[in-house]
Amino acid sequence: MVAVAQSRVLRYRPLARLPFHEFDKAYVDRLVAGDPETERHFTRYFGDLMTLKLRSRLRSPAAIEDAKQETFVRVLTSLKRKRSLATPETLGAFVNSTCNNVVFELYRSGSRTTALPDEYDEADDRRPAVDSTMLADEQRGMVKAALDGLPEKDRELLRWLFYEERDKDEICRELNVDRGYLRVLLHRAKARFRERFTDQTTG
Amino acid sequence: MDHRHAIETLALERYLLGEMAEQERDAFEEHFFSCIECAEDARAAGTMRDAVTSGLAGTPKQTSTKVVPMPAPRRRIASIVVPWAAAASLALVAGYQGLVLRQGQKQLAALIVLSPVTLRPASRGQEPVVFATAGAVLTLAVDLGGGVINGDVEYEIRHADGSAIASDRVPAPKDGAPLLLLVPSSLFQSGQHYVLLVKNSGNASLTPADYRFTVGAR
Repeated sequence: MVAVAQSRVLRYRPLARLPFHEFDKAYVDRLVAGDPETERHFTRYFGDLMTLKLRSRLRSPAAIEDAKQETFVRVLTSLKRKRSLATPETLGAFVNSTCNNVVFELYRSGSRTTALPDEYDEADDRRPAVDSTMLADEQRGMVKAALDGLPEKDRELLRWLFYEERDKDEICRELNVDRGYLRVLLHRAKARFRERFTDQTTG
Repeated sequence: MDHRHAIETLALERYLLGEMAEQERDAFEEHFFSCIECAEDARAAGTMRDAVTSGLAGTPKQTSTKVVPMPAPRRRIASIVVPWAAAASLALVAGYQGLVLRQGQKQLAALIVLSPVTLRPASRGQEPVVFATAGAVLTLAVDLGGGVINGDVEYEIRHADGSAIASDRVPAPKDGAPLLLLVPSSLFQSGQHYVLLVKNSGNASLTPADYRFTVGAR
């Protein structure tokens, strides 16, 4: 029996006009070489994942953005210093563990200073670059169109969960479902959103 | 956590609903950073959640005011029961109001802390970014320049395209204090620019002052 080493082919439907990339040696090499397109893909792809992850850990958008930027700097610096990654397919795990370290350090530094109140609204003087604003506007339009295309019941459920942040048990009582079925309803709404959003971005 | 387990247990949905314990949450994050399929699903879900949080799925429907028709008054029937019933009802209402008032006073005794965002005239400094939390109010402290203002001031909050979202005429704050506005965050959309116009006909240095700000996504 001959063991055939299969290269890990990573297939996925592109989201928000993100071109297809494999996390293989060539990808890491392009990152090390500073290829702009690969860097753009890297920061956007992992930036989205980190935003999702950091939402539950850091309160302010500015702190989330800082943690993301610090993670990118550390990962890219490390890759460029070592000129490669021993196992390129573990790039995602490497980014995640670096992000964990950054968050841990933020917590530690935060505990040595006086915490601001939870509801503190600090004016964020930083402004996005013009091209990123245009991209954000473009994406915002596509996201809105995808949401508008959802059945009203889906939109209402999403509003209750994420806009009004209503108590989940209360939502279950109102819909006469249990928590398990609430997950199913969210799963269906998310799947329908993803289908419409992908159509927008690829169509 | 492997891919099959993540799919079978609706891990992403539980993650979005905040139903995971810390250890499981960390394991799932470790998974979706390495699994392209789950990562794409997570990115889509994150985009969807952020969009809904910033109001792109619409805001809650306002409850409409219903006009309830009053029944026609009945003919009065003279009875000795009526005065006693009226007295009993009055006592009940008075007792209830007393109870409610005491509860109300108890609520008012609690400290309310507001964290206002100071707005200064557009010509001074950078345009501030304020963050609106869904279901909350946004507290704006409008710096009127510290001068003495007599009479009323008129304000109007507009979208960048000029369409108004709120306006009123209110007594001017005393002794150079800022004008405090508590605005429901549902009136704003994140990522949008807004202009607050303030007018006071008796104060040439204030008229008209515009204050610009951007609402950021939280």
